[in-house]
Formats: sequence, structure tokens, C-alpha cells
Amino acid sequence: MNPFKIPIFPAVTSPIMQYIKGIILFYITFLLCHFVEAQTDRQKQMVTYTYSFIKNIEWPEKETPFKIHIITTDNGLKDHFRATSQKEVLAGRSVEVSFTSYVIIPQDADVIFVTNRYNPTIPSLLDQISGKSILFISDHFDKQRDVMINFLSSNTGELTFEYNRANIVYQNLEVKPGMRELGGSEVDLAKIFKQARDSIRSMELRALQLKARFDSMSFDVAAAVGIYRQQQSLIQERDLEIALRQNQIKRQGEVLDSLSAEFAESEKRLIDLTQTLDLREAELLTLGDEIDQQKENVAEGNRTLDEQSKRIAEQNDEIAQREERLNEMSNVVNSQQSALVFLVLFLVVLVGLSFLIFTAYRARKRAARKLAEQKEDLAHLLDELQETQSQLVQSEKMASLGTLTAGIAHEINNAINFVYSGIHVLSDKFTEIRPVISQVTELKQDDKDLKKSIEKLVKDREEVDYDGAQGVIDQMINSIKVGAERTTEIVKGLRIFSRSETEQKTKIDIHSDIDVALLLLNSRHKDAISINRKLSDQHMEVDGYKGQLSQAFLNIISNSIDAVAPKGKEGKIDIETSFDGKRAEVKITDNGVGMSEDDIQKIFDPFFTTKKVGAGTGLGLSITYGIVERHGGTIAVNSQIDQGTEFIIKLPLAS
Amino acid sequence: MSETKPSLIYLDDEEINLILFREMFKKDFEIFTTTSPDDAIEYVKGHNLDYILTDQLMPIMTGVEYLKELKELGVSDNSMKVIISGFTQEGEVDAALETKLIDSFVSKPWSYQNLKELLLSRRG
Repeated sequence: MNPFKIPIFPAVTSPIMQYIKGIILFYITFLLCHFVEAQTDRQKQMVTYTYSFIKNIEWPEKETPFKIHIITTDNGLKDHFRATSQKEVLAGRSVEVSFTSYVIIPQDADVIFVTNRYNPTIPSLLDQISGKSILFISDHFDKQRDVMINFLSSNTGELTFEYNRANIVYQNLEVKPGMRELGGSEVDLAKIFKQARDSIRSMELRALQLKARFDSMSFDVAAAVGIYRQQQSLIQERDLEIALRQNQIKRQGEVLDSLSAEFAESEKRLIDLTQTLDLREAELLTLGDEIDQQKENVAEGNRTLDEQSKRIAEQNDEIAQREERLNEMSNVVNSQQSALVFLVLFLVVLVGLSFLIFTAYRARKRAARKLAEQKEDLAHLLDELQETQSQLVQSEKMASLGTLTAGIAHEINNAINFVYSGIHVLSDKFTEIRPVISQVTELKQDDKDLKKSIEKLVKDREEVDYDGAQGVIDQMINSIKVGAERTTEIVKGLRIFSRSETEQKTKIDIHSDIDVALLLLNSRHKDAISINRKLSDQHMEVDGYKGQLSQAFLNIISNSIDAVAPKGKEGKIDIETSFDGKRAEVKITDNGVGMSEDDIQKIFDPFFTTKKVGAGTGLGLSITYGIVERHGGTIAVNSQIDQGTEFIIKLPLAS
Repeated sequence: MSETKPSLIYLDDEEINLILFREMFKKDFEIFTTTSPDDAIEYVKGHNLDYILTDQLMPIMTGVEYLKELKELGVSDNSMKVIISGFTQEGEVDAALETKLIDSFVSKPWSYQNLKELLLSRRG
């Protein structure tokens, strides 16, 4: 029997059977046709539904054709879509239908329709289109919570559908009310929720079970790890032992090697010794022969020896005689030798002494030369020092001049203003009274109308306020005089800055030097503080250099002005002079900020300053000290913080 | 001559400067002078002055301090304020010029022509 033959078509031969076969064939054909027809209806319905769904959705506005993509292998379905797409206009756009038999999502697709053959791929497809305004149509997909629109078969086998509004809305699409009238059913969300909850619960339960299992397994693993660790440490111990043993074996092997080497060497030496022994034996034999021969020689020698002994005895006698003589001679030699040693010693001492004297002489000569050089250096250094000192003094002068310039300019400008403005007013007044003066000039001795002229003169005089003008003129002349005098005084005071150090000593009036210092500092203290001069009636003169004492006083008073500045209007400086019969004393006291004990120690050091960098040179008091010393005087300071400072200068008077 | 002359006060600690100023400008201004800042302040309080002139370096207060006090009293807002000083430069005065506390600075010795021009320029 042919195994490939269909059982319902067995080989028949009888006519009845032929007939029955015909009937069956016909029926099958009918059923098949009916099936095909039903199939075709279903595809048409799907296409119609699809368009209806699309029309019942609110679509975002777009210019491109409306794109429907169908993933299917069903050619009938494709044909129906192709046949209808030309006629349809969806959401105001022409329709474009595309097909693939593999799963893909074309760009710009608006609707994806997947036939049920591809249902297993739906979850991943949904992931890809999620939230992208794409409507997804499935066919008999069994997960209601994932579907958007899903074709179903009713109990009677007719095509119907269900839709899940939530999922469509989630795609940013909206379902129009018309969707409900198409006849499908809306997915019961509550049911889905319940299903989902049940499934979550069962998953939780499962998770719990899994966790319990995991716990027990991790316990097992922990136990296994424990055992594993124990075994590993055991293995390590074993490994160590093995290493130890291997080491021992190695060492023993080395000992063995060295032993066998030693053995080989001893063997070799034994062989050598044996050979040497053989050689010695042969030598011994020849030596025995030689000894015999020498024995004879010895006997002969003995005889000769006897003869010679006799001769030696004779010679010994002779030697004894000579020795005696020799002894005598050596005595003489000894005495001569000691004399010689003494002589040599004397010579050595002589040479040493003369050498010492020579070196001393040279050293002295060199020291003298060096001393001369040093002297010269010292003189040079002294010159330089003096040079530097005079430069320092000059630079301090310049520095104080700098700080004083502005103040002096102020004073001079004021004085000049007296002169300048005085002359102006004077010349004005003079112009005013000029007519009267002219009349007086023109007055003649033999004026016939003298009385008339005088009357006119008096009238004019009253008109120009001649008397008033005269008063003003006097005042102006006085102003000019004061201005000129002040200028002269200031310039005189400034002279101390132009004197050089090499001047001759002259008689210096201490009081006038104090006044010059105050004059130059006028603009610095005028502003606030009070300065009291309590000068002695005694005329005090010292032998000194012009201007130097002024500079010394100026430096001290200038510091005092700085010290009282923080006190404002309370600031006070007293300048007092007195005479004790020998020496003049100048005391300059202020109630300023004072100084600490440490600062007092250093104030006369050059470059020591408590002022800000750049504000003071630190030379003022050091130069003041120098000046006072040069005049044979002394300078002392007393100071207390916040109380004030007192400088006392004592100078010997000129005789 | 019926037109009233502009009024002016000049404060300076040098009496001679005041005498000279008065003599020089008596035809041009109605002048009050004093060496005492307190008197000056009292006078300014009682008069509506066109000009306030002052020296800078004075024993009791500086010119800038005096003008500051006037400003605090609010009595000199409309007057032209000028400092006349022998100093050619001074920090306090520069600062006062910058903050408009004073309108101008004149250095001594002054000249009649220049000072008059400076003062009258304000009225034009």
C-alpha cells in the first residue's frame, strides 16, 4: 500500500464507491469554497473596520500622506487594502499602505496592523511605538491590558473587536464617541486592573518563595564557603610543608654532591701520594750509595782537621797578643770620639739659634709692613666714613627740607600777598589823590588867586577823601613792610640748609636758633597745638657752626609736633632755656604719645624710625645727637607712653 | 550805583590779608571780614550771602572744616564757596573740590583782576 495516499481516498474500484467518492469530493470542494468565501468576507470586514477605527480617532495635524503599515503574510488582506486605499481620504490626507512580512516600524507610520501570526512580537513592538501617536491594531491578541484595538471572534464566529481607550490616549490620540457605535467592546479596565493586581500578588508570592529559597541557598553557600576556606588553609599548610620538605631534600642533595666531590679529590691525592712514595724509594737507594762514599771522605777529612787544629792553636796565641794592642788603641779612639760629639752638638745649637733670630727678624719686618698697610686702610676707611657721614647729614637736611617746603611756601605766599596786594591798593589810592597832589605841585609862590586856589584845593581834598586815603596808604605801607620782613626772616631761616660742614666756628645765639626753627615749622603747628616759649633773659652764646643748632632744635620740635598730633587741640609743646653758670640748658617738653623703654634706647640710632615707611628717614635724631656732640654738649631723653616726652640739651657757653 | 552790590564774607587768621582784601574790593562787594570762625558762622547764619571766602590753614579750624560746618547747618547752600590759601596743593582741599564742597580754589598771592573775574563769573 502506498503510504502517501490519503486515507479518505482509498483505491476504489466499485461504481458505488466511485459515486460516493464523487459526492465526497463535491462536498469537500463546496466546503472549501465556502471557507474561502468566509475568509474573503473576513478580510474585507477587517479593512472596513480599520478605516472606521481611523476615522473615529482624533489625529494630530500632518502634511504627509496617512500611512498604514500592515505586517502580514495574508495576500488576500493585502489585496483588499490595495484595492481600497486609493479611494480613501483619512484625516484629510491621502492614504498610503505598505506591507511587510517581517516585523518593522516604518518612519512616519500612523497605523500599524499586525495579523495574529506575529502576536509573540507584539510586546517589543509596543515598546518601540510607545507614546509616538501611532495606532496599533492587533488580531486576536490575548493581553487585554496591552491592546489598543484588537480583532476578536464572537461566540457565533463573527468578526468583532475590542479597544482599550487608556492605551490609545497614552499614544496622544483621542477616541471619538463614534467608536462606540462601531459595535466593538471597550476593555474593562477594572478587570484588567484586577488581573494585573492578581498577577502582581502571585509574583510577589513567587518572589517571597524565591527569596526564601535564595536565603537557604545563600546559607548553604556560606557553609560551603566556610568549608572551602578551611580546606584552602589546609591546602596552604600542606603546600608550606611540601615546600619545606623540598628545601630539605635540596639541601641534602647539595651535601651529597659536595661529599662525593671531596671523595673524588681524596682518591686523586692518594694516587699522587703513592707515586711520590715510589719516587722516594728510588732516591733513597741512590742516597745509600752516596752515604757510603762520603763516609770515606769523612775519615780523610778528620785527619786533615787534626792538622789544622794545631795550626789554629798557634794562631790563637798570636790573636791574643794583637787584641791587647787593639784595646789600648780603642781607648784613645773613645776619648777622641766624645770630644767630636760635643763639638757637633755645639754647632747644631749655634745654627738653630741663628735661624731663630733670622725668622724673628723677618716676621717683625713683615708685621711692620702689614701694620703700615692696615694703618693706611684705616685712614682710608676713616675718610670714607667721614664722607658718608657728611652725605648722611646733607641727605637728612634735604629730607627735612622736603617736608618743610610746602609749609614754607605757604608762609612766603602769605607774606608776598601782603606786598602784592598792598602795592595794588597803594597805587589805587595814589591815583585817587593824584589831582590834589598835582594842584599842590602846580601852586606857584606868586599866585595871584592864592586864596581861590587854596579854597579849590581844600574842596578837592574833601572830595577825594584825602585824609581817609592817607590812613589807607599808611596801612598799606605797613602791610608791605610786614610782608617784606617776613619773607626776609624765612629766607634767613632757610640759609641753614645751604651751609656746608667745613665752616669755621662762630658765636651762635641759642635763642635766635630756636626762633629760626620755630619760624620754619610755623605752618606745621599753627593749625592746632600751642607752643610756649619760656626763654631765659640771659643772652646765651655758644661756639658753634651756623645753622646746625637750628637744625637740631628743628628736628626735635618737628618730632614733638608729630607726637602731639593725635591729641588734637590738647597738644602742647614747651620750650624752656636756663643757665646754670657753666652750661646752657634747652628743655623741649611735649604731652604727646610718648615712647616705650625699648624705643628710647634706639632713637639716636641712624635709620631707626617709628614712622611709616617713607614718612621719616630715621636720621633726624641721630644727626641731632651728632650736632650736639660736635658742640661739646649732651642730650638726654625722658619719656612715658601716653604722658609725653622731654628732651634736655646741655651746651657749654662760649668763653 | 543804586544797584545793590553782591555780598561777601572773608575769613582769614591774618588781619593784614583782611585789610588788603577790604581795601581792594570795597567798590565791588559788600564785605564782612573776621579772623574768628565762630563769628563767621554766626554772620553766615543771619545773612543770605553771594560769596563765602576763607583761608585754609587757621588755628581753630581749617577752611574745609568751617565750610563743612556751614553745610551741616544748611546755611550756605546758594553761596559760591572759595578757599584762598598759600598752599599750592593740599589733600583736604582737593577732596573738597571733588565733592563740590567748594566751588573754587585760589592761591595766594591773589591778583585783583583774576579774583574779581573768578567771583563775577558766577553771577553771569
